[in-house]
Amino acid sequence: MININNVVKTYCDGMNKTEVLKGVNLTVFEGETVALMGRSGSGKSTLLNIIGGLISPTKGSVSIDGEETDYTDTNSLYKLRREKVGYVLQDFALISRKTVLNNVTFAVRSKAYKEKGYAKVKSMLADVGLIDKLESYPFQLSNGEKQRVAIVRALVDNKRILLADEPTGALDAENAERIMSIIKEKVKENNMAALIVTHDKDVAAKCDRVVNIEYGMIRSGM
Amino acid sequence: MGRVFNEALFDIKKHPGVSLLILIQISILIFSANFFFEVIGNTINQTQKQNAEIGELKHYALTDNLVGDYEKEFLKREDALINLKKFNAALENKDEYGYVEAYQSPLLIFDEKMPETTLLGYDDNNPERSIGKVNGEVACEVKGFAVTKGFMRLNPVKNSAGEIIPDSTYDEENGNVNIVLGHEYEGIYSIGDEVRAMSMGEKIYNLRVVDFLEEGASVYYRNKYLNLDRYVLTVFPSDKEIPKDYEEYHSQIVRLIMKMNGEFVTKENPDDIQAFVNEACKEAHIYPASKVESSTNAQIAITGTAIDVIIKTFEKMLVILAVFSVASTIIFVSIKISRNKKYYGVLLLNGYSKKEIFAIIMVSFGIVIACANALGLFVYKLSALFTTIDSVNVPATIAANIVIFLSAMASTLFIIKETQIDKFLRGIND
Repeated sequence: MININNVVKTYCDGMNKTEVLKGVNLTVFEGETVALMGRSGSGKSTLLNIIGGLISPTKGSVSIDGEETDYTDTNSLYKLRREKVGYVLQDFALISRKTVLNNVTFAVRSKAYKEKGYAKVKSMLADVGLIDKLESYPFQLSNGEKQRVAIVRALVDNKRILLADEPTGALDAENAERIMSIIKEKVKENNMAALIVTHDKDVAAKCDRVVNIEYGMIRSGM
Repeated sequence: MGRVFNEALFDIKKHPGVSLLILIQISILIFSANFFFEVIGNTINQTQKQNAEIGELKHYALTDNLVGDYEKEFLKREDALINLKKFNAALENKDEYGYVEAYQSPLLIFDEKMPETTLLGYDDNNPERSIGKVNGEVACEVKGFAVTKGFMRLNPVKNSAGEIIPDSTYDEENGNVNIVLGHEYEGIYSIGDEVRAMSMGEKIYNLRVVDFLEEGASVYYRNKYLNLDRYVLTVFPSDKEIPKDYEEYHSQIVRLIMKMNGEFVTKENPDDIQAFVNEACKEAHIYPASKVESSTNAQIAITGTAIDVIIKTFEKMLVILAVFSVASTIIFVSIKISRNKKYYGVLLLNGYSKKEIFAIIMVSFGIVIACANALGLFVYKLSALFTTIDSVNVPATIAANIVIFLSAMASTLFIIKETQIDKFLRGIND
């Protein structure tokens, strides 16, 4: 579960201050897929990055499964991303010279996923239709296939949270639908909490809940 | 650690071109450090050795004091030869060592029984080319070393009986020039043997063998030790006698002019030497080079003992080498991190810490440094085929590696620390 409590984020550039988030409150429950919508500059990606521990809030707190994130302790932030948070990005964030299998296994830390030659990872890739592509390189995959690899990577090690920033932004309608189905299925299956940033109303419609953010504040769907 | 090592290997393979450039850059630095320290080290050692032998003495190389039109005007004088002899005598009588000069100059010996190893062509595996005829007479070209007495006072050598050869050995007697033969000639000639030879100025001399050098006898000549085993050691003809004909006159003129470019070995300072030379030139009606605008920078240059200059030059070059090492390492590290920003961002996104990213970069760098050391030292050893140096300078190699590694570490640490994770990520999202 993600619990965001009165999060404020202000950027300072010399004398100029920009308040990107102005006191955001939001809860995402286990097994729930929440779409976060808003115009460019409304603070969607900033909120995602704060939840993922990539940047720290100016004020407020974020708790994951009841445990408050300590933004002053860099080690606990790395631990957060290693053990709890999985990321899916618009441009897939695959490493071009690693195979499909290596693009997932480099992120694996737990023994259970390493056992028997990463059998569990292979099974997850098979689940998303990539069993024949384990030794392929990203340039040999379609965009939809690349995003499926990214999703599997975000799910290894039994992550609790899935954060997706425009996961279908580079996909056609058919692949977008397929990706969203996979996300929803896996989130429910693994009892995760998922927050998806999107401009796409069709994508938002597939989520359990839609939250609108405007001028750094949640307007609806909290 | 296994994960870090695997990613480090991948890091190298990811941009092989950058890795190769870094490897070449470091191997050049390793090679340069060894070469530089060995060359400078040898130079300083030899100079210190020479200085220890010489003590307070300084060496001054004499510039040619007959230059351009002044030389032409001088040689037209009827008393040119007399003045040259006067000038030469002044130089030779200066201080304890007088005038120090030596020439490696082949001799033509009119004798068929020269050992093959002494022939000039022996070094090129072609001794036959050193045997010919001059005016119908068989002559052999051998290695000759012509010196002034001052040079031999500075480089005392022992004969085969273990005694230092005295000055008087080199005096002319009854028109014969006394020669001392290198060890290779023992068994071929005996003391008292006479041979005829042609030397510089193409005059034919009667040479008398007066002694043999001990095996391995050597002199310090042009910044290295010259082994004299295969040499005929002669002293420059005194040219005191009055020439009998124009040919002899011309020979003496040529020899005396050639003898104007030797060295002084003295305790005096440069100004005093300059004053002495100017006075000697004045007495001999020679226009000194110090007054000629087109002559070399200094009438007298200090040679041989300029160890302070060597050390200062060494320090400057060391600074340049160190600055180049640090700068090039920092540049290459920056390029490497910049090219891999996206990759590091993905690692950070998936739970890798900045410490692990730092470790990956340093391990990959360490692997490249190790390979570069192997390459640099291999090329250095190859270069020993063409130079006189071949031993690896371990302290220099270690120092170079420390400089490179610390530069890489510092710049990597700075970049990683100062770059926020979201900036790595913006590399992903661009």
